Amino acid sequence: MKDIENRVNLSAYKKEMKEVLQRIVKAMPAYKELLFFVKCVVNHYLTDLEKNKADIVVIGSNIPEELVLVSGKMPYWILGGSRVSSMWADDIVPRDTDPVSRSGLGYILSGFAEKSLILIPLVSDSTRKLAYILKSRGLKVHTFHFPPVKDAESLLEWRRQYELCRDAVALHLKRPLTKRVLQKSQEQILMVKRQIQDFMEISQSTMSGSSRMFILGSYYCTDNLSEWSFQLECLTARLRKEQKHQNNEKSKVLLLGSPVYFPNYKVPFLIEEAGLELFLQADYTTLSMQGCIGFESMQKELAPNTFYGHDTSPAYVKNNSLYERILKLLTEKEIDGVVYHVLKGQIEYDFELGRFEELFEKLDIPVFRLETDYNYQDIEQLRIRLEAFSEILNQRRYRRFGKETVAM
Amino acid sequence: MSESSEINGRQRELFIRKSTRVAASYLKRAKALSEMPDAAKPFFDVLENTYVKLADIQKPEDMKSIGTLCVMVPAELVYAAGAMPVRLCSGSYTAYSIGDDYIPRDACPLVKAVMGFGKIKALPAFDNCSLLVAPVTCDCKKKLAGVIDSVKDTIPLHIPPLKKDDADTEVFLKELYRLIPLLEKETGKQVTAKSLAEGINMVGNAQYEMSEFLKYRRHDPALMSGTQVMSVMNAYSYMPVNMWAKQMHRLNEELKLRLGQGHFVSRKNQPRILVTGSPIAFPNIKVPLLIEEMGGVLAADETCMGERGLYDPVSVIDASFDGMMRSLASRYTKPCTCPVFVDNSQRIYRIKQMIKDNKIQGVIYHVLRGCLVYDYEYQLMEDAMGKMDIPIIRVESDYNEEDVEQLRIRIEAFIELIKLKELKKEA
Repeated sequence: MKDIENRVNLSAYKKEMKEVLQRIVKAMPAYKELLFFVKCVVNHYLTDLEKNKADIVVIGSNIPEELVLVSGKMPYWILGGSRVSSMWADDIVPRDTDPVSRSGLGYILSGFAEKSLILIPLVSDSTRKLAYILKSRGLKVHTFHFPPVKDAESLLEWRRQYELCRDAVALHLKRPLTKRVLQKSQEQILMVKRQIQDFMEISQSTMSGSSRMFILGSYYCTDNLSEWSFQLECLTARLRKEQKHQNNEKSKVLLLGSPVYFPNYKVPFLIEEAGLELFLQADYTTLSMQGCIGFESMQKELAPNTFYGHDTSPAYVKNNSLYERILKLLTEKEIDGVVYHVLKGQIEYDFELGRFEELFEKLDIPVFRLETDYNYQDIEQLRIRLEAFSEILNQRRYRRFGKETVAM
Repeated sequence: MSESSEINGRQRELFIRKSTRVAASYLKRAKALSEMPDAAKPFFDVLENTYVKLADIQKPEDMKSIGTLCVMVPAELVYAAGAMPVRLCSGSYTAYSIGDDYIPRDACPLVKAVMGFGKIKALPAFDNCSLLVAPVTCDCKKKLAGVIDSVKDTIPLHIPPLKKDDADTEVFLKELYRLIPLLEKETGKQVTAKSLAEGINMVGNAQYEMSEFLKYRRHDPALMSGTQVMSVMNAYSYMPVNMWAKQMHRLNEELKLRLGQGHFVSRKNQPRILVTGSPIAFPNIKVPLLIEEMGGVLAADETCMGERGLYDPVSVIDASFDGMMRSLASRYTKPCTCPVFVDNSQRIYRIKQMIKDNKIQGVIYHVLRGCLVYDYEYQLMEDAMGKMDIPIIRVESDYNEEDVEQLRIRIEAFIELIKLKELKKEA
């Protein structure tokens, strides 16, 4: 603990966490079932960080979970959403580095992962260079490469990477990771993902978008997945009881682009403050948590292939998986507008925007590109722009359904 | 909006006027630097033909052009398929401003310039390429491969991010094998062991001439201006390799003569600078020009459009087809010091070696805006140079001329600093 305090300013970090947590909890319905998830997040971001106990640390959400779940306990996922931890890495990375990579590096440099095996999926320039920075500082790093064009040949390479990662985890844990053990993990993950799907369906009318995001995000915070899954089942059951009629008043917004990770809830909060309903967050982290196309029929032995085949991260030359997922989503759900979130430095999302703009233009769905970072200087400007976007969506809704369906 | 109406005739006319003017002015400035060897003229003619006269590349009529977007595409393989590789990494400011409308704001200018040429259709060297091979190196090139296929058939080439293990080279080898039928389909010619060996020999010959040329480049005082050297190396992108090697041989002969006559273009005490970092692609030669206009000598470069592109020859141990393919895969990944690789510490060793060989007194670290991978390595370089007591400066630039005066002041101050340091040493 003292060690961490020597390196970084923990009080600012704690303050950041506390402020966002308070705000989220305030917006949540008063169900006792929610307490577990709040505790999960608090433990992960505050208590565990200070304990220096993680066996395996995973940067980002691109590593197939079964590889790390086999250790018997959850790994420490570093998704990177903290403004304060991103400042801890300020002197090490170039000015234009995206805040997610900064924040992730900041966490690790705080010193809690000194004895851990750090798994880094090589999905962008920053992850590649981050891997080198950490390796050169004497940390134990294993990289997992994602071939950028999905075809039969690259699938073989991806399988090789999968096996190498499995070996690295086994070596670190000093425990053989057999097929049976991996399959067991896969089964558990499949079950949890089904529950997440259930939760997402049921919670739509009873919880705000940011609260749902928070619950979903706590998946990466738990150190006991079985318990987390049981608690989610309880919460879903409670929500099913409390389920209201579909709320049609607010314009429904799909949040696309750069993933939003706790505690950086600036954008979801702003969307809700502008009178919009954050209907769904559709990035590679949340989409992978909700399963994938054909996920029910997925064969266990092909699970790793499915992970690669349906990965919606921008690590590919053409992100067809995300495009197909969004197309499917649009046939199933009604969306009034799209907020396309681009974190400064995450250039891949900006490249992908053009294709989505064309798609949404055809479907007559307005798209709003919002560029930001983890700082709060731009918040008022973003608020004004989002309020204007909200006005547009409400006007369109008014023209379509009449006055009574529009929340003013 | 239809593709054709996106860029209308007037825009195209303006583009041509502006881009040819900029290219001509840089050529003029480079030629005017010091006594340019007569044998360097053909290289400048090639750049003039490509960027000022907007003529197609001079090559046999039945030979197709294959565009490449990086030095990691084996030229030997393209020659073996009966085509000519044309490196399309461009430094055109005007194409950059066109590409700016199609590529995200924060992407690197090189990628924007490539996209700009793809859209404007005014550069025959680009337009006449029947195919593009785009190595997936950095994020910008990766995503460019996904969008430029709307203007030209593109084959993304997977580059493994690690290069130490044989298994990683094997990944690239598979990619090269995948590339062969696609090239054959395009050219209608088969890649055989014989044609591959010929391709390797042709490029090897050019590499030999290049290595000779680099020996002359190392000479202190300089035999030829560094900006002109960079232009000569840039011309490689638009010349058939045999022609380039032939002209290079002539240039080497002339430099040999100059050496014998003691005909130098710099003084003994001029600060010798090495440029490293993001690619310096013609016509964006403002940094080399500024160095030399401010009294420095550009004595070496560690850039992909410069020395790195032709530095290491393919070493064939096994002359079978597969043996040659393995040699190619190894040559294009293992010695490559591009920062897209996770562990690129050998770049620092290479630069240290170059500092020693070329008697370098200062390093200019060139970062194109948005070129994150090079920026990441600056700190490592700074530490290494600090230990060697070699001054280093990071200059960030873009494809426009707005920052020229600011760069001039910084480079001038850097050169003064080196001079002062040397004076102190002597004292």
